[in-house]
Amino acid sequence: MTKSLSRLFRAWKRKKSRTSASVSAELTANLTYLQEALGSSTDVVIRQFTVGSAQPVKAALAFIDGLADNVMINESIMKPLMLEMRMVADGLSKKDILTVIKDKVISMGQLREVDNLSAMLDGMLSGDTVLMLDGYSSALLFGTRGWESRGVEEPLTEAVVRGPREGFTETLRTNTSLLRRKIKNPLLRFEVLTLGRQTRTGICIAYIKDLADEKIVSEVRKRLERIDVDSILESGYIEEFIEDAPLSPFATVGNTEKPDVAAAKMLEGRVAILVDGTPFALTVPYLFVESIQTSEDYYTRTFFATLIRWIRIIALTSTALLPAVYIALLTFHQEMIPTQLLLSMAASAEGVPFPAFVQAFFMGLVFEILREAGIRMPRPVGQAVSIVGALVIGQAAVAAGLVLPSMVIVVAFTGITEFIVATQIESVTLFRIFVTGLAAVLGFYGILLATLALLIHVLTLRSFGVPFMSPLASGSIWDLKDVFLRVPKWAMLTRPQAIPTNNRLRQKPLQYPRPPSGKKKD
Amino acid sequence: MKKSRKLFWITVIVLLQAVSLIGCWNRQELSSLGLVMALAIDQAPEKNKVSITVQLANPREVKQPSKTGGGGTKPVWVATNTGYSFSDALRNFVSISGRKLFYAHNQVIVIGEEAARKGVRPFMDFLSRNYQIRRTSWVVVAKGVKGARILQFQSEMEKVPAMEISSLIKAKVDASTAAGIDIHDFIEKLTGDGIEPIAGGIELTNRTQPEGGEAGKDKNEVSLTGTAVFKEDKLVGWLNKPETRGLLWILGQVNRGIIVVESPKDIKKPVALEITRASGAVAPEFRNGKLVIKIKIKEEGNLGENMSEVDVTRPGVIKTLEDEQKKVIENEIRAALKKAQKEFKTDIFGFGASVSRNYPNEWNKIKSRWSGMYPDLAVELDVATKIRQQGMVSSW
Amino acid sequence: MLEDGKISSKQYFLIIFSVILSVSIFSVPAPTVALARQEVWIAMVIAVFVDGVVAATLYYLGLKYFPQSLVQYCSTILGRIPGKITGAVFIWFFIHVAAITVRILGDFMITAVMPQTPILVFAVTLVILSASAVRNGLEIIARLAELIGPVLILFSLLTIGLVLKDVNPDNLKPLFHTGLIDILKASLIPSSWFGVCVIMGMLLPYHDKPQKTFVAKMGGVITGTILLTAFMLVQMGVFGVHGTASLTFPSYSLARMIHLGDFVERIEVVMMVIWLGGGFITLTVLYYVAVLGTSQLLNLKSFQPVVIPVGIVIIGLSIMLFSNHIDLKAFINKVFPFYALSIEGGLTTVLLIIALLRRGTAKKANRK
Repeated sequence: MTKSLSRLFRAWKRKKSRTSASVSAELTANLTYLQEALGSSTDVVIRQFTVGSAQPVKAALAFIDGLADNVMINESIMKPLMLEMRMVADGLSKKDILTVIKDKVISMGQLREVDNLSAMLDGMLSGDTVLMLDGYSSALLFGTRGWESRGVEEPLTEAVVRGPREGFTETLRTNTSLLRRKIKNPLLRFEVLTLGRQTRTGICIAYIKDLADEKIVSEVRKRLERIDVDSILESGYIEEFIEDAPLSPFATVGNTEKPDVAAAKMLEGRVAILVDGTPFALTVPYLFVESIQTSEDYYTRTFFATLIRWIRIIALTSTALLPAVYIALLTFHQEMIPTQLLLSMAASAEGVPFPAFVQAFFMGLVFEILREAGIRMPRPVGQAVSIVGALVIGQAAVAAGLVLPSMVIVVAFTGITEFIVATQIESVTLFRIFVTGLAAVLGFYGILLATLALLIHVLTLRSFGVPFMSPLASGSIWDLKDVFLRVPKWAMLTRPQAIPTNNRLRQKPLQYPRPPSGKKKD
Repeated sequence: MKKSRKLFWITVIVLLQAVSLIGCWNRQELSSLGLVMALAIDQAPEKNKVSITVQLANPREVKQPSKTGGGGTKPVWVATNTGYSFSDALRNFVSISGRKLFYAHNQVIVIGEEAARKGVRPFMDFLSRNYQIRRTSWVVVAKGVKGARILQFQSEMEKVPAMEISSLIKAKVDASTAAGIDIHDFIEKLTGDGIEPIAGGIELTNRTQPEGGEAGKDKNEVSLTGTAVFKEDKLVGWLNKPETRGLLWILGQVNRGIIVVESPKDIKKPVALEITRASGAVAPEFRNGKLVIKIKIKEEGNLGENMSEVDVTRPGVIKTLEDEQKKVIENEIRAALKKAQKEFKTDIFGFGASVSRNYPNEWNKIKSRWSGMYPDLAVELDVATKIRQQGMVSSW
Repeated sequence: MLEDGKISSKQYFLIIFSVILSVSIFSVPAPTVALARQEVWIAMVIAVFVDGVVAATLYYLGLKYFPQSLVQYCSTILGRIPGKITGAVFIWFFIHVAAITVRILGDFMITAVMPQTPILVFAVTLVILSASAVRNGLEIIARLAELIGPVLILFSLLTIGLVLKDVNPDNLKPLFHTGLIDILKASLIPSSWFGVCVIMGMLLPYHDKPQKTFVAKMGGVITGTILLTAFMLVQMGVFGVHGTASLTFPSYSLARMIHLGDFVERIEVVMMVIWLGGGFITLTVLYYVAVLGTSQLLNLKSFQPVVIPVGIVIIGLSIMLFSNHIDLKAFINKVFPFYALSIEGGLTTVLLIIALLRRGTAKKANRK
């Protein structure tokens, strides 16, 4: 087993070291290469023609149908080459043709010369058009990318009441443009690299040069460059390769579907990673507190935003601990339940044969199944499933004497609150199972143990060098201005200090709004 | 480094397994609990035994009594057991009820008069040592009957009689007609220096039937009347209703209540005054080497009801009423003092404790003679009363 | 370097605070109130002074021999063999106190909350969890203290605030009526617990501003003392002197008295959980310091191999040292003050004197 694996591994390494040939001066050789490389795919278009009138040169134009913009090719490439070339080409020596085409004939913004066959192929596969001339050992790549894509729409996740409604799309270029539109700073940088041997996916590291810490940017770059995989279909593919704590239930890389969120994070000194083919951008470093912050906190007014933030904190705590506390109360600390409530709970507990933990486990499982079914089902059916599931199963389980009515309330409430802090669903669900199990064995002491274990774990986490739990533990107390409170905009003087940045101050101080100073005289 | 990490995880796993093998210790499902709502302590027929009565809630019946009626089980289950000690008697219950007794929701502890006269210290030890029993359970003494008898009464209002007793005590305490003493207070007074315990007195009475109704055959209503007075841990006697309030004045525990005074105009027609605020303080003084206890009472009240025709708007009438009120309060206090000092000779007012706080050195000298000194202590009263409001009408 | 982490003054403060409050809240009130009666606060002030002297000694030595830790400069001051022995005594003390801490927490659980559960369960789970924190080094422990410390302060204030209405101020009288000797005797109990902060000698080299250690440490001690004293005063107010002294866990009984309206009551289990969390910090810090000291003593490159052996010793000691809670109480009240103070105060003073003498002789030698 290990032997065959290591053989495979060596083969993989060899494949990588394959050097690609340069563009040949013979057009036919290049065409053969293309044909060999692409096979007889029907979407490959190779158009052969001649350029110039006096000394015609054989030429070939190649592009992929559907990826390249046909109109653009016809208007800006074919037409000039075939018609206008005649006018300028008289008396042109064969040597100069390429330069003339480049400099005078083609009316296109994006154009580059490549002498490497594989680079040529890569360009072509990303929608560029290749022009090869007989007798030249380089080819021209025209930027003709233009394909059918989804428009900029309101994203399904991260819905807001107030705030921009646009979301990233599947096209990398559109996404960078969305970011550029938010931040018109020349220092906004996009660094592109291609990853994935099969998919050749474009990845873009976006950051603001003055704000982002150079160390973090180079760390991101280093980690991305290390990736050597077959395919990258979604940002999740690279997330798992660049995480600091790959075995932790907690994500140390953030993701967002909204350009305004990505921009705001970049403005705090973070780095965004855009991946072609997905509307989800990654942001690093990612801190725990980001999961209780949403873009809308900063668009609504301060008091309400603070209230909502507290509601989120309470929801997060209760979704993590409520079933555990309930079980601990029910099976260990009955003295804590008010007498009247205990009597009525005891009344309904008569005749329920299962221990509280089994009930909670069973109901929790049912809820998770319903949730998953609701997501996977076609939308109209999905809604029916969740309502029917919640009402019917809960009601029936109580009526049949399988679970306590209060257990249904607890589980349902837990399930609902889970969605309030959507970014932590995965970790919270796992932790809930852990803590509920311990609570069933040791009561509140078990809850304490689970919580301490959780704390020890999260405190060891780092995201790109930044402690995951800052500013809650370690770090400046002033960073709490945007954790338990959302202080007014004019008081948010500094960027979060947890994220290293070269430019600490965010705005001019003392901008508390005042009435106009001069007294009006009637 | 790597090796130690491996060793670490192995240890963790082994230990966790060890933990899980032992099982669940303190776990108890709700349906396996016998919820003790009230406890009664009585003297068993055998001389050195106690009999303990528990009132267990039957939750199913508490929530929805069986519709068939008659054949349904009762919402509570009362059982008695005897043993050489409190816990000895309790231990036998499991074998009867099949459920584990759970005391944390115990509302009331009823001590039978006979048992109370023999001394309650051993019971209090159990009650404070047990980790489930709360120090906020009420302590009452059954007047004239066995405590078990009190637990057997059937409540009309509440499904669980213990809950009714508990709210009855709360209501009475609020109206300042009974001393609300819980385990905590009782133990504090029992162990405290220079103070003796008291407890509410509970008894069974006939239900007052509405006119035309059938007269009750059985005594089937509990009421809280008077106060049980202890010396050390033994019951020595009872205070009646006015004496109880006299005691509460001194202890500063009067909150609310009605004082009925004679109308200045017509002795037979009373005026009711409502207490809104009151405070009491004991201030011992040494006058020429002689100990004098000064009791300061401040009371404020409203005019609640005027059954006579006296015109309260007339100047001086309010003053007269205030004086009348003062007289009533003083009488109540005197009555309580007389009973406690002369008859029972027990310092339920905490005069000794008050001396020890204010004159620690002197207290150390007289401590040993205190029980002899106490009955003959001179007590001075300083009662100030005030009527603030006269209600929604002034006079008509 | 065994430990690369640095802790901030705030973290230092919260570590010391948690150590001061969380275990003392179980072990100090009853015996101290029994002796000092209404004058506990005087006893507490004396204890703070005693601890201040120890702290000053350690502060002086720590800065003088920076960046050596307590265990390391023992050898520098006393020479190789005696230094190693002294260092071992300190490490033994840390392990011993850690075991006592585990035992106190476990005893508390099986007395007040879960009597049917074997104490081994609590000892084992606490130590395992603690070991996982220790393995991650000082920074994690410091951050843990930074999260739990404030919660501890908040809930202590909440407990005090909620039972304030049950306080009978008469119970706090008479003032100034306890003999000085009794107060001094009483002050030994808190001093011995505060003295556990000799751990500051071990942590000082890892403070990012070592010069501020004294302030941070005394800040923690004073804050802890204020809360602890407030607890004892409230306990006396509620239970009386006699009552407080006779209770096994007065602080827990105090939390049981909480009732606000008809439904904010019976929340003592929540309080228990918070205190246990604080106790966990204490245990972890002591455990860590023992592990660090051992590896410094043995000149190890990493402290990881020591973690598990020390943990097993702590579990074993916590179970075997005392046969029951009465035994433990007797030890804490009668033996521990003298035992602890002779190490905390005595041994450090000896170190200081020898260090000063050495400096004197070194100066003379220089002059010659």
